Amino acid sequence: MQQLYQDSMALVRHFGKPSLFITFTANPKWAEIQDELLPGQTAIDRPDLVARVFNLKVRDLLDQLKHKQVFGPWRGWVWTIEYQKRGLPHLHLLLFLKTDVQFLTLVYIDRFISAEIPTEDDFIGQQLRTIIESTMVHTQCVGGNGNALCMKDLNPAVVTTCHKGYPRDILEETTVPENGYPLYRRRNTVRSFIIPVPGSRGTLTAVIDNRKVVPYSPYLSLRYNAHINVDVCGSVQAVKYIHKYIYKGGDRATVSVESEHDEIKRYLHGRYLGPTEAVWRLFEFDMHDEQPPVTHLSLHMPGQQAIYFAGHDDPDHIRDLIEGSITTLMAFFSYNAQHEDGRQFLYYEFPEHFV
Amino acid sequence: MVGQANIPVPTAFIEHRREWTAHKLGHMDLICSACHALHWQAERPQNRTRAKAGTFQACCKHGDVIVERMRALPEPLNTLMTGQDSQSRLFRQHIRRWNTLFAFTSISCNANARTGTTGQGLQLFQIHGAIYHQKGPLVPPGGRDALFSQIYLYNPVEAAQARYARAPTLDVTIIESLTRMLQQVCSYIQLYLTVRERFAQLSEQEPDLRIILNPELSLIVESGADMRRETLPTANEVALILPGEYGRGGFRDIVLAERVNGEVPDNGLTIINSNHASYLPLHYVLLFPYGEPGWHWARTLENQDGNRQNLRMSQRTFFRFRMHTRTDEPATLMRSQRLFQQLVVDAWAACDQNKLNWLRTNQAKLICTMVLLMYCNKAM
Repeated sequence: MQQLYQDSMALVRHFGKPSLFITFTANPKWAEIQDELLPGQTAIDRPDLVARVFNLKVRDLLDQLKHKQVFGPWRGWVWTIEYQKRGLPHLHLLLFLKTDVQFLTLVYIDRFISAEIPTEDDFIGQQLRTIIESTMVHTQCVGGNGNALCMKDLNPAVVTTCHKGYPRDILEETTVPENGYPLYRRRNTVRSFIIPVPGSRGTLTAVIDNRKVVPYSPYLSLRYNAHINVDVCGSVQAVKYIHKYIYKGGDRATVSVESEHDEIKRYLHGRYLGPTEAVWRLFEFDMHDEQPPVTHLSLHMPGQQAIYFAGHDDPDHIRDLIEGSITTLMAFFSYNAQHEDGRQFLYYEFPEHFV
Repeated sequence: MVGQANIPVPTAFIEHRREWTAHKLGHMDLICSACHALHWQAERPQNRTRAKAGTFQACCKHGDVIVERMRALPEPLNTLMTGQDSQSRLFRQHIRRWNTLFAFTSISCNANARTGTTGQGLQLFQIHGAIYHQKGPLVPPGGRDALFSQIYLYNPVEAAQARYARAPTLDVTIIESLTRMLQQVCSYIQLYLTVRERFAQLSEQEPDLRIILNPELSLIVESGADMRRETLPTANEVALILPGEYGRGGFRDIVLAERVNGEVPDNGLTIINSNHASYLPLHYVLLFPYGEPGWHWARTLENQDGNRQNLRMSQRTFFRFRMHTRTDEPATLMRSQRLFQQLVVDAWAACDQNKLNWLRTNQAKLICTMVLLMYCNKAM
């Protein structure tokens, strides 16, 4: 996991900050899942269907981003699939675009990201409104529901506000602070709807308006009818946090420290495994990807490079291996000792120009 | 600027909203021409010749995976698994309890606290840490109540009573009818009875005695100080003898009954190896009531193209085959709700543990050594 994190930071070093941060969660109400359920079943009875449908949707989303270029010309991405302990799979994706300077500016953000309840001007607007109301509203903590996960504090005595910052403030215009996420436009409109307060067993209701909408892309929401959060990456500071977040790795539990260093045991004992993840792995669906690919450059002291050999290898063969071994670092030094044209590049920049 | 020069306005921009459409996969109505598994259009292979053949990779590797089909369930289990009446629905809702009641082996794992019926969100079978199947000795030691496989040695009426005693909240008439049904169809019951009979006979003469079910599913009696081996004739379906690939006696054997120095050791529960062909049927009795064997090392792949180097069928491939709904077999597994969740978690945990065991036993091959060269080497 640490290696993945370093790899994606290498992409950031190369490209600068990512353009968009997308989170895509499977929706158990998808028609494709509901249609295939056997009589009397719900989606949780069929982790096989959830995993297969989500995989197909993710593949379509990736195709849309890379080949259909729906947000503009594609440069690269990093993504991972995660299951949480809840079991619904979701995708975290950082997208690098070629057109940050042109598109990710105040003038354009409102054209592809929204944080408002859509208008019902036409058929598309009506469809979109239904989708947004059911998938893109932060409802957990409405009505001050103290049991909501987003309201929990480590210290149970502390009364907190929602960690995610909902309800947000009404805002007439989208603004982009120096360091941080953009604050999207949330105008004070009459558009609102009523939902029952979670945990109140239908006795209480709450009014939902623009202050409770999670930022979304109207295009992706309409296309996938699921919780898809799309955010502009505000600053490089935000990126580090996101990378940590997307690479926090397989679900783990706290484990006791034993004197014995047993990687296998540690892996087994710290593992959480739910049905969707089990199906995902049995079907060998992709777990993560980075493009462009990142290569690891080696780093070592003179004469201490790692070499690989089998225990039963002939000593002469091992000696040949040792003497013949050239690592990327050694090659870097030897090239620069002989040539002058590569000397202005740092080690990590070198392969881009000289491979 | 956007829309000017040579950068077209991207599709996700509001200007294009009239062209936006919803993504639809359609119905799962394509049938794999090799194994009859159901697929979506989008799962068709990219390769044109493959696509033309109408076969798929995920279900059966384009026809190279051949696994015996699930048989139709016997009654009354079939009605309970497929029926929409309240009794059947209730049965499926508590299917893990029902299965535990009939299982020959118990499952041991750290189920996540959230698997309980309280709390918000989805209710899932999740494990934390490793997963094991265990079995106890043939006869309950010293006056304890019979558990799991031990109950099968009773006659049907006693067996149903013993089960009812363990789960008084479950419907006693269903317990009775399922017990009767399993006595008729389940080949493992006959096998256990054979073992008990043989064990009783030999106990008189032999102080050291062991009866095992080896991974090829043949019953073997090891007796005497030199552990002479004798294969028991088993005239039932369990003994579809698999080709022997294993050495004599091994860690994968399931020890059914044992006697050391004239005593029956009270060794409590023993762990069943997940590579044993009986791993699945001994626990998931309600899904495999006939005792259909699960995955084992001797399963092989077909080689239609002649390109395969390795003809072993992996555990993962086997489970993936089982995880598809087909037009030519009942969707027994997919109907079993929480038990299905348990099965897929168990399946992947077994694959994963297998892989880890390989790593554990092959450390010597994997050790990579950092080499210190005392003198500056030539490459620099």
